[in-house]
Amino acid sequence: MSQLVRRDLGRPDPVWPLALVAAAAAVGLAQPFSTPLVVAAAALGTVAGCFGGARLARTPLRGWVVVAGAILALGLVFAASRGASALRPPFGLVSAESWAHGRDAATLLVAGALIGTLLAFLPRRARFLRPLPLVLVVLAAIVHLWPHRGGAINRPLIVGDLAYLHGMHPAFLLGLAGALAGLIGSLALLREGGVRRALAVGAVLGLTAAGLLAAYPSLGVFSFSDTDPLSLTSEDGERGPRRARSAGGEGGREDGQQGLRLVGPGGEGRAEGGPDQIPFRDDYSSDGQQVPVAVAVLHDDVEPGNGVYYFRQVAFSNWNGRRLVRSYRERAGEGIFTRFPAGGPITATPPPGRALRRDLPVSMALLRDHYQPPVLVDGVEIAPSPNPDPSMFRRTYSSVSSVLIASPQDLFGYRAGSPAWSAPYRRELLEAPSDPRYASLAQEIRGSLRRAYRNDPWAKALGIAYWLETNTRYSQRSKHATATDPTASFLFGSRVGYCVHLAHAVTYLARSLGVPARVAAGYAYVAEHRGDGSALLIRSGDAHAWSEVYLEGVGWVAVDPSPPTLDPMAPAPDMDLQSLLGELARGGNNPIAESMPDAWQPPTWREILRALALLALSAWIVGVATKLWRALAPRFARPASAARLAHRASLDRLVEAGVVREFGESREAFAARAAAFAPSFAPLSDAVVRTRLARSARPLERAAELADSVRRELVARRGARAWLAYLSPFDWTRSR
Amino acid sequence: MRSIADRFPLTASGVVLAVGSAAALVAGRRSLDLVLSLAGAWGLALVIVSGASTALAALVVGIRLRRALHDAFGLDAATVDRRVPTGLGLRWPIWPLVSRHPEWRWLAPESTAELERRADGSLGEMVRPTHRAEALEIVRRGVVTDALGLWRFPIRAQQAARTLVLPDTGALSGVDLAECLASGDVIAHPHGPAEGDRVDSRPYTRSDPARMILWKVYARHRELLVRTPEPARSPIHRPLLYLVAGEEDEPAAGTVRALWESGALGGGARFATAGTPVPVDGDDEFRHALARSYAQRERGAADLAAALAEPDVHDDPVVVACPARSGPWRDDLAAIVAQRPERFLILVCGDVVPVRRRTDASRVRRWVFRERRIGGTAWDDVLAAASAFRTTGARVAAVDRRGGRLLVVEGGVADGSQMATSA
Repeated sequence: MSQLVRRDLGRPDPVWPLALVAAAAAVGLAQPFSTPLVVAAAALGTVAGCFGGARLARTPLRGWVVVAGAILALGLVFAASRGASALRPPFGLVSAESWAHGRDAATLLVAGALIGTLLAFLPRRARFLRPLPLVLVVLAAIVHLWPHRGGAINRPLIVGDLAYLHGMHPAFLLGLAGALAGLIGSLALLREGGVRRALAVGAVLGLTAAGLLAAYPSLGVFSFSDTDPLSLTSEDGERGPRRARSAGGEGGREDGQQGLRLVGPGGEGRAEGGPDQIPFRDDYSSDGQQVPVAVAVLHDDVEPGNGVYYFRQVAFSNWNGRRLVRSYRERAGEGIFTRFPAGGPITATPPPGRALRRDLPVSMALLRDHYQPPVLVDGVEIAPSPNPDPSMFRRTYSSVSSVLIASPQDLFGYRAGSPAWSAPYRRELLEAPSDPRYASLAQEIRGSLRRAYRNDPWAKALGIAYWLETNTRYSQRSKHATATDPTASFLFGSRVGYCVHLAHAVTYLARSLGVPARVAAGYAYVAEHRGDGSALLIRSGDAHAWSEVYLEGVGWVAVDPSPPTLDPMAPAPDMDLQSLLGELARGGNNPIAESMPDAWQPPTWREILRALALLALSAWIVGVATKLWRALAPRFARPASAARLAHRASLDRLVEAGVVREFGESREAFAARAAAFAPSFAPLSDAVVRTRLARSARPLERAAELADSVRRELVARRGARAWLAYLSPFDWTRSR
Repeated sequence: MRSIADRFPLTASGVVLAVGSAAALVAGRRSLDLVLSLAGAWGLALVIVSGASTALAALVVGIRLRRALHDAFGLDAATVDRRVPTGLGLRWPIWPLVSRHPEWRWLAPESTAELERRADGSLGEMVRPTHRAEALEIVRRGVVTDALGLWRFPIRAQQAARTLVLPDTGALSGVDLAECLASGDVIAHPHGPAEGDRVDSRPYTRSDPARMILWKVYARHRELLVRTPEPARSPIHRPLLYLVAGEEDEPAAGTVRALWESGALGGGARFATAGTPVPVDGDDEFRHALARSYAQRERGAADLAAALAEPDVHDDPVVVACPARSGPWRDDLAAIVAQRPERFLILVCGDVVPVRRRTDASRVRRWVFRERRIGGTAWDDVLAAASAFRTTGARVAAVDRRGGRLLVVEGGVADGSQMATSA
């Protein structure tokens, strides 16, 4: 059996990783609010507290005593700090500013020490609290990068600008910060001491973090769940489409640009939320969230006549006796694209009225999955386009839309409907609920029009919109969803509802007056939010339903009343974010970054390897030089230190031979053990011990010769391997 | 509880980290917080990577352990609480995320164990048995943990090996014990000649011959003492040594071993204990009977009557070693002893520690400080247990194995003049 030696498995449960992590957390948490002096004081106090807390954990003090004591002391410290803030600097010795900084530094020094004490003490008494420092580090990162929440990946500006200038993805930088915070915090969990051990663990954790960062974008950086009241998007196949077409056989999977997208099977019995019908909800609000869902880049400066860019995704025109559902008649899909372009462009019948319209090419980049493409009305063609950033955009495509630029005044005089329609389709677009109140109200509205306009379809539609704007209120919280006819409940009840109610009301009333109408759903973007840019940032709050009436020679025209709202106004999109996402969607190089001559470019692999090789060579040279110096030092040493240096040199030689003094092993015991390898080592060791114990001990003569003897003995024992050991640069670090 | 923990390898820290990370991931995705989201994903990745690495390491360790067991051997006459190498050499995976501090122990025979690095780089096994035992199989249990304390994967291995663990004699010396106990007829004075000598003394009473008076003592202390005859070192009687097995009986077993191995009871002494009602007199049989008695602790003093009923034990003196912690055996023992108390010497044995009584500590102090748990018995408790046997009429002594002390209890109080300290 091999001889057992003393334990050499490293010291368990070290404090220093925790102290470093806690100091990092202290710096992170204090930095936004404090000066460097105060931050340094907080870090210093935290480190000291960690070591103190670990020592405290070994005492028989009960946990609650320490916790209560620390909390009480924290209260006292902050109270004292507050009290000191009322005092003036004594005798005017220091400026008021220095006094305040000193006070803050002292406060955070003590507070850091107390918190550090708790950080080290609590996990040692209650193991499940070990991740506490990790939480603090992550918290520090969150505090610093808080403004980016809600999809504003250009915030904070220091991150957004950095990414913008260097052509990097801001989401990557933010994710990197999160992963780094987790990695650094994880080191506090380390239960085994030793720098080499920590470096090895850190290296593995670093690789894990790199893998995570590489894999995470493929999961969709922005594929976050969010309220989706109109069921326009599809997340993980759970929400959104349940059936692309119930008739016609198109459904199942569709080939997407970045692979297969589940359109979703089945869903026949789904009562709400699918594309076959638009759901009525009592609470449509998204709690103020304005999550980016798509970016549209306009390639021409065209603005719709009504000042709103409508991105139609689906339309509902078939009255099934209870509500409007999706129609699958031949012409019902005009202006609707039921699938994404995969192999080539998909074209649609161009709308009539070319004189009233202007073609507008648009690049669409979807940040969330949609079950079918939203296209700026009236789309005539969509085509696949390369995705400039698959980690950011779920799908990209380009479209050409024939935008109606005519003003509302220009639309009077056109007849309703199209002679090309089949009779059943015309009937479908004119079918309204049997509730006589619709017809009655419609006639009332018609009666309020000037006589000259009473038979004009567009005038009827505008009259209806006007009546709704003046007689209803907009609110995303209503109580109609459970009614048999939610639209009737809205229109003849509280008259408080949201876009879905309004769109249905317009449609029903228009149909009652003989104007073909339908409900469209998608996104509405107010043109004035565009500013001077060409990018439109479409957010989840822009999800919208509106009514459309058909005018012969014009096509489908949106009728979208805007009654006074009871809800807070939605904020305009962040212009910076809109611009940034627009740039990313364009996929071109960042013009600003290109114009910066000194812009930092990420190093190439070759450069990284070269730097690493240089670093390794430098380290090797430093290590070997140090080793040589330690070997030669006894020759040039003063008599007083000759024995010590010769002993050190001999220890180095022994380490090369694999004979290392163990932790806890006395010098005498080691010398006895090493005598088997180098008998000359014993007198050296003895001299060093005597020198340490008695300063008046006579210096050892011939120390350098003894060291040489040790070397010779080891060379004689090990042969060429002893010389090869000189190439190993850092084994002297194991001498002790 | 351990079996539940074994089936659920995630530690409390791991559960907190996994749940917290999942919550952070969900919250991060909901609030579109990429930092929180990535930190949550990182936590989950950490748990997964660490778990996979540790599970693999546990598999490797299990395979290597089973191979290494072929070369390991059992323990022959190991001593409780003494570290002893077992010859097991195990190569432990030096992986970054796997802890190099394995939890290691023997389930049977119950022992604490440590793995220590050996000169050849492998880990050697050192065990410290926690009680005496005789076993034909060694069951090892190790726990492979990760360096971050998130996972614990237990491994278990059985090895067919004969193991004999004997109790520790502590600081007791059989000779000193015998010196202290030799004033009676049970044990001969170890320093006396075989035919007997006058080496003891007692106060002078009328009718004592004047030549027996210790005049030098009188000159110094003005007390009249007389020399008294001392029983021979090799008495005619062959004392029976009996161990009452029961809860916390290791000190008693250690005392028995000290008495036996020192030869203080003479060459003809015999030994019986729970599970061994027929007295044995060979050293080998003694050791096996002593080690085996741990498994018969529930029998207490049940076999004493049978041992006394043996024909060749009929009139011999009996030394009974019993634990200081009382048990159901106490009444049985008292009843047997009461029949012929003059032939019994009862040794009440414990490991005495300086325990501060709860009543000694103030209430505030108890709130502020945790009570340190030290294995052992208070000296007062040992004395009280010994005094309880005085009612039987037998001679009773309190033995402190850890301190090597023995106190003969007279009339229910400790007689300090007869205290022996052999430490």
